[in-house]
Amino acid sequence: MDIDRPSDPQVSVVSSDGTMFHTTLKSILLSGTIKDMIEHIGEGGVENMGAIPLQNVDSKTLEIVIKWIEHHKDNIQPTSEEIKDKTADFIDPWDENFLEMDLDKLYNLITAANYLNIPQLLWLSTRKIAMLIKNRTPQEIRSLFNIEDDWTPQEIEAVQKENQWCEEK
Amino acid sequence: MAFEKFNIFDPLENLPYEICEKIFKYLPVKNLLKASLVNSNWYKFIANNSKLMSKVKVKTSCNMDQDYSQEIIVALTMSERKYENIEIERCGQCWFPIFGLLESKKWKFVNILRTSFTHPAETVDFFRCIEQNVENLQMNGVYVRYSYSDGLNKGLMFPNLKRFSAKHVQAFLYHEIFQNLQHLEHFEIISNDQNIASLNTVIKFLTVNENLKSLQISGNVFYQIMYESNLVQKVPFHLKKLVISNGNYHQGSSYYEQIYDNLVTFIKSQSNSLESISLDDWMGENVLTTIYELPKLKELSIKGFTNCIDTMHLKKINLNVNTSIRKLELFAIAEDQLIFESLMRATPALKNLSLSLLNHHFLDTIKQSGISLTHLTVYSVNLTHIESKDLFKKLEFLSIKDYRLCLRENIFAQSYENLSLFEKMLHAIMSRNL
Repeated sequence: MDIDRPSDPQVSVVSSDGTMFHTTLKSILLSGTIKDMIEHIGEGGVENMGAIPLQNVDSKTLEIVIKWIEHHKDNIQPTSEEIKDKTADFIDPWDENFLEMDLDKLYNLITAANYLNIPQLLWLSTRKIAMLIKNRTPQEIRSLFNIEDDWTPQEIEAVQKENQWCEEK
Repeated sequence: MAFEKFNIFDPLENLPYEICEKIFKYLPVKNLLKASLVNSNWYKFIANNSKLMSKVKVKTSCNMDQDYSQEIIVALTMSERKYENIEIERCGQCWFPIFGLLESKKWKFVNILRTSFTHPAETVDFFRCIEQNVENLQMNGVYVRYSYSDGLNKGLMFPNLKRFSAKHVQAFLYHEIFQNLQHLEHFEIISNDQNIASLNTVIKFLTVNENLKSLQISGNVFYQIMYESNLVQKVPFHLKKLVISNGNYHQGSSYYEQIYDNLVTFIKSQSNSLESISLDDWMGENVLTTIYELPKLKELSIKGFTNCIDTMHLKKINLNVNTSIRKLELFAIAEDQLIFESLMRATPALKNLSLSLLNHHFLDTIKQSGISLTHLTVYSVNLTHIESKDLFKKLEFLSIKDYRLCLRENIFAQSYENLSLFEKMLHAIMSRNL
């Protein structure tokens, strides 16, 4: 099947809670998981193919994912290999803005990006969590994620001391 | 429910292990260690993850004049963290605490600096602690005070050691501790010691390490090997990278002719694998011609064009123009040396050039050779008032997309103004080409 055809046919996906979403082939192919599925269907399969069931993604999350893939459908996507070496790359302001969401939504998005195999979205969303952790004190991290502090003062002092003898390799 | 944990937003409880690992991997070590303090669960997650811990290096010193050092070593020994990298500096006098630390973790990368052992038994005990796991061993300034050989084969095998770097390490250690190394991929030896015993051990290393890909060796050791042995017929490896650094030139010319001949044979024997060569001097016409014949060579660095018997008549030489060299670094090349012209003419595919000095002659030569550089590195540039304006104009033709100026110790930069103008010019050219 030629998936690089200029026309961009409609494709439907169904969330775990049964909601159907319509998007385009170009957009949905950003998902490695769906790309693999479609490549197995063979010649002319796309038009006759029914809605793709996505049992691991709920409708709220799928809506967010579709918003992202539709925005990026014409961009060249880096492979997971290329993303491995990526560090402080430039972030598109649209993406920066897109990722402004509650933590529970962000966690669902990460899980979905992982399941659907969208390397760039996974990179963006996990990096977002890392940026929340970076440059925050342990107490700030605890309040951000609502985490209990279970250390005794002696224990925390010992770890602090130990940290003094560590550095970047 | 009141008895239920309230950590509803904790990434460690909401996301799969691999994803959490990914998140923490983005953090610099400083932030990673700070994150360890959040709670015991975060500490354990980081402490037990080898991908995360491989980024961290612990620094220890075992100087018993300072009370804290023993405390640190005990704390690190008791720590749950699966450290892999350690730097040990200035140890001496009392080794026992550090043995405990070395045995408590599986150290893969060990860096030993300015350290002296008292006697052979202590040295063996030390290396036995890291023998099984160490993959990368770096030493700089390591001695044994009473270096008598007790004639016993210590049987230290270092089965996982792939990278071995020894700078100023007493010859004694080579033939008592490291005699069995045979899985090396990278071997670096820098030494002022021309003692024949260490030379024989180095020759032995070179004849048994089949997997060696990268050899970095100081000139005084390497030239003596080239002079004294017919090593070439025996080496089992296929080097990708050869670096010869800081040689001493106190010998007569017949000595050098012998070395150059053997070096040519050696380089030819590695011709199917060599991708990068760095020489402390150009070693004469035959060596350079041989290097330009290497089919896979991508990088060449020559640190000098001086210490050579035929410096006086450096002339145009005919080099193979089919070389695949993309990156060239030339130091201490005088501007009237015709050899620069020969090199530029012979390296049409050149993309990345580093020069110790940039001047009119070099720029003209680059232009005439039709080379289109993408990277230029300059260590010094002549910026006197008379010269610089014309020089700046000449930069125009450059097709560079990136440049680097390392002019800190630039004796020619009399004028700061000219320097910033020069930098601006390069920047403008770069922006134009991007």
